[in-house]
Amino acid sequence: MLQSLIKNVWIPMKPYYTQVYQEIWLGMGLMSVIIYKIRSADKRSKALKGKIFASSNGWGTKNTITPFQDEVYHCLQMCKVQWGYLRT
Amino acid sequence: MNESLFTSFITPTMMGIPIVVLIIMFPSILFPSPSRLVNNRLVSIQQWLVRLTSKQMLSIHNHKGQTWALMLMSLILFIGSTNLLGLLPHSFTPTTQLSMNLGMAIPLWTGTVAIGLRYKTKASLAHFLPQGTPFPLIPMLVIIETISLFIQPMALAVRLTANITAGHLLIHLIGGATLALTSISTITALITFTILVLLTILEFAVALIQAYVFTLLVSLYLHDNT
Repeated sequence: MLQSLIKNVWIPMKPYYTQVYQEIWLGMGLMSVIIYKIRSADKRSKALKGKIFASSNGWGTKNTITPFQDEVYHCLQMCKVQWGYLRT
Repeated sequence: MNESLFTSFITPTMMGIPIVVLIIMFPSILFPSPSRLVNNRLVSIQQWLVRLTSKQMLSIHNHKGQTWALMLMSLILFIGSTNLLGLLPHSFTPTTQLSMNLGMAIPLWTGTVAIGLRYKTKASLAHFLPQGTPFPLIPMLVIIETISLFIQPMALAVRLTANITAGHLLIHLIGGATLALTSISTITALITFTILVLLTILEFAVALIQAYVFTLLVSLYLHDNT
């Protein structure tokens, strides 16, 4: 399959991929940098929101959550969901 | 109804696996590669259309610009076929996603700017200041021209996204209104149905026009830089 791919795709397109589209590869690199920056900023903001929520509820004072705290947090979340269903 | 209005724009998944890549690759099946000197009718019509479009689009370019012929023709064929396939009921249109259109616009625009800076540096930089500008206005105009340059890929992507999305939403709304009006007033439903038919014809035109506009603008940016 690799041989047919090389014969049918790479060999006819080689001058384009190596010479003509050099600037387009640069553009694709720029676009991947932009995507990486946006995704990492999104992950950081979600982690920060989670940390703020946890610290405001008294969890994880040294950035560690005990299994008991995790269980209580999970039960609180389930109660909130059930209360939401009951209200609607 | 409000929830179902935007469900056609959600990226489709099949058993939890996203199938967007398959949908994006699907239009290429409709364009078989010509393998003979004299081909069948479908391939002959496609070849004729590609020759017509490429002659018209590449006539303004010099030798350097004409090396982009394959890219520009692939672009117009892809966007045109994707937009037209999106007019089928219950289908997903990849060009309604801003991420996809930015993914097309940013590399192509960067490519044109990089070509200009690499091969014609002075001429590319001279585009930041139009000829005959009064001396006191120069700093402000350079800033404005820089902003207009960096807005080009955003405008390319948003124009395509907004046009296709708005058209699909309108078809959905007016189709829903037609259905709702059939039980209330038949004459109003008929009028709404006529509007729906006219809108669908307009959307066919918009699908092709937007593909042409996107490719033409990329071609113009390339022409400015080569």
